[in-house]
Amino acid sequence: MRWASAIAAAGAALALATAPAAMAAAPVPAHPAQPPTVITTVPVRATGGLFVQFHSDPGAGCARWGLCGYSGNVSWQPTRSDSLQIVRVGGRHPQVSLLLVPSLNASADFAGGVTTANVAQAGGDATAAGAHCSDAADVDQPILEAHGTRSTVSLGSASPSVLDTRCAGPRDADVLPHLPVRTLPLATLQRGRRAISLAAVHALHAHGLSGTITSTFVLHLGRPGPPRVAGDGGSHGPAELGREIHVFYRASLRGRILEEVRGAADPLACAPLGSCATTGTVTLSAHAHSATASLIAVAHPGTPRRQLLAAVGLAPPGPGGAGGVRGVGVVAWRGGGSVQSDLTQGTDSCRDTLASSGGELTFATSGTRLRVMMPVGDSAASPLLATRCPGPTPAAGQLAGATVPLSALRHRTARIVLTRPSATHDDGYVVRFVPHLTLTLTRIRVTTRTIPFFTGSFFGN
Amino acid sequence: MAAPAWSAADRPPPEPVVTTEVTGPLTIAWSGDPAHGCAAVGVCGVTGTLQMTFGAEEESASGGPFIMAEGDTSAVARVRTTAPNGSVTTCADLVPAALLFNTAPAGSPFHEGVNGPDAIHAFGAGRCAGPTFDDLAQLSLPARRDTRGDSLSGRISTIAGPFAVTAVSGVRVNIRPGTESGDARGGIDHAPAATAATAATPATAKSAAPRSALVEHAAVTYRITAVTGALTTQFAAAAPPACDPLGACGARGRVVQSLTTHGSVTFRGQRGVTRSVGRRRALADLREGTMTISDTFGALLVQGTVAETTTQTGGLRCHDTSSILLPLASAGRSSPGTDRVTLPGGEPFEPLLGDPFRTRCAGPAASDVLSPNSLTMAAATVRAGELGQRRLTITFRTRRTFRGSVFSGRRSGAVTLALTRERSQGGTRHEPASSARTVTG
Repeated sequence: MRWASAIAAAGAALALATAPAAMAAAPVPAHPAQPPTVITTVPVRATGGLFVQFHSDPGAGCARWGLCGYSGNVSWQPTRSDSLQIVRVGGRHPQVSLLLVPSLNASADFAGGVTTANVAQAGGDATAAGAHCSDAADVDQPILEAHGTRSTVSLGSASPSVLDTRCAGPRDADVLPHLPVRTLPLATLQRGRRAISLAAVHALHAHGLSGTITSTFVLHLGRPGPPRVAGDGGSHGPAELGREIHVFYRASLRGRILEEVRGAADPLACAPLGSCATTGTVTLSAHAHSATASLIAVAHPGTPRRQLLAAVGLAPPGPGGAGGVRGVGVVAWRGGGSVQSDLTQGTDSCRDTLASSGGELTFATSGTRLRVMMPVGDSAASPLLATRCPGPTPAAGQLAGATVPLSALRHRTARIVLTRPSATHDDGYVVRFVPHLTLTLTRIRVTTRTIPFFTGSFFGN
Repeated sequence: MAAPAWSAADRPPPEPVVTTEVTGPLTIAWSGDPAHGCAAVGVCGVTGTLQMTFGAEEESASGGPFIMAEGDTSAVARVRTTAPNGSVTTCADLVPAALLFNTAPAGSPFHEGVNGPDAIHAFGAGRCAGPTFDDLAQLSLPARRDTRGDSLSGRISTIAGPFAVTAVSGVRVNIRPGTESGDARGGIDHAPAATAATAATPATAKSAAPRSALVEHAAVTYRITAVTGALTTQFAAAAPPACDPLGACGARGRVVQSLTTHGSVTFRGQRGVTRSVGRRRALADLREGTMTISDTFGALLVQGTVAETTTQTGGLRCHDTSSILLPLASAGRSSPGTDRVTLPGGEPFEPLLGDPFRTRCAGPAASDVLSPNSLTMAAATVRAGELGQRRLTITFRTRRTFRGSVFSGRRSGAVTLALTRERSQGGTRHEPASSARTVTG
């Protein structure tokens, strides 16, 4: 999670001046008859954490994956939370979402907690510079999820991962299945005043790693406040009308992204990660057949339909182009692929494979161009490029990207090839992404409608 | 803030913007230096790094010139400490960090190069042992211009307290002036040079002249003549495995915060009225508690020192004193008759100010110690009836326990400000109607 701000240089005082341009708001459409949103706030306190101590186990076959010689611990500790917000959007099919709000005295950037790893590596010729890896990472950890009238409390919903760091070690797939998942009625959550424990102790045996999994995590619910209806008297009421065009696609993604990895050249940078002299690749293979995609553009209600169509590539731009209307969209998929590490450091090598959890591509149209991006990073939607081997977890840059003529979307089926390479740095590592992905979009539906906007939304023209 | 739905004719003229792109890695490494007193502090066995990576996202800001802050909230401090008995502990902590640089064009009054005087703002080593926020703020990366922008790459070495510090930078800064058309909905048009432009007021933004109301007001200003006392935090690390991530197992210690502030504080009160009153009446009303009181400390930042002593198994003992700056001490909650004055502990993760609990020793941060619901380090109550007295004392007190994921302990102590009245003002004036909430006779 990156941020930037501008600080006026006037006088001695530093004062926040502007927000990032990246925060230029996306449309916030609302249905004409907006159902009531009721929010119940329950004070919460999270204690404990998840602690995994591990060591390479030759008897369990660590040599097969090149995971011999490691020992250490990886742990996740929650951020101090202030409250649980139970948000119920009414209507015929009420939807409930559960939000753990970090306390005022905690960074919103670490809202899901912090994962820390300390791992020693023995043997091989890595006993000098590559002998130790320390790392910390912030985690987007929902903990609570609502399903109909029930809620689950677990550590299994983290994005991108609870235990992912740059150090070698067990990952979520090795640990989280051994932890309890508590399911309880939403009404129980709303009543508060109870402790929900995910405490457990379990042995770890995975891919040649053995050890102990200890969870001491407990979520303490306090006395709930009275439910309140959101939006009453606030500044979020619908203010203006807009016209929206929404293009639905069936999508598939095939191919791979090769992440070329090498340890940073300067020992000051690579030694704390134990990454000195590391070279190799991490390969994301994508085989997503049933992804969904959509592209949306919103403009003033008087905007000609032709301009809306032009904004999403379904019509050639007229003399005025798309009239400044821009489209944004996303392709999302789950599973359907793998991540494979193949890294060497001197005479040591690590080869490991994990199933891919999925990811997201984003679209943005501008003028007559369509930009397709797969951002790297700690976004919940970023595909993970990590296995049990040590390796980079870059938080900036593009895994893959392409800019193509928007007219490519005029056909019912569009094929977009993403091959633009990019390079970035990550603590202790230098990384180059070489993508070769083919995205196929098959248009299945186009809708246009008039929608109200909440204040704070931005029109496309 | 809502963007007005401009018609093409209404659109304001282009506004100058500055677009910046910061990329590359920055590693700051430190180790205890016997030649600079590491033995006295107890950090000779400490080696560590703070590593930042700046992303490739472009950021734009209109107006200016600006000092831009490019941040990495996922920067990591990694510190290894070798104890006198040879045992080694490892601490890893997330430390939000920011790189500050000036975007003013060369030749302008604000130009200081891309590395301004406050080039790096980070919470030092976080909760690990290492340089402080102030230490890192002294670092200034070497800047040179080339065909691709400004390069801050290079290697510099310096001394920060008892540490020898080396910064290894591969950071590049690309600053492009340009103009932003219309209503800030994107579409930045880059130009070779920005020209000053004043945004015209669009027709849709015009509004009628505000209505005014009569407001009774009073203000008493005091000079701070003495500060005594201290706030003490005693802490101990949790048992394993909770202490493992910070390598803090067995650690315990004490943090003592003292203030050295000077300046003034003004207590103000006001209310809506229907008739004018004189200065004396207004001041009497302030004392009688009929106005809502607020306070304004004259000093923007409160200066102080924090002294920390920690001990840990293996014979580790660390003692260090650092200066701290607390943000504006101001009203926490006001109510008729009393003014609750708070001493804020700062934004624990705001990289523009340091953490008032941190020194070069390892130990808890503000986020561990202060209440999850409050940033208050200590609070005091001032009664309205006392305002106007020639001498006044404000005593900030704290007394609470805390239990975090790694550190727990208790806070106690008091800081007393001795005040002497400098001036008092009062009367009535016309203000925009929204200022006058309660209108009384």
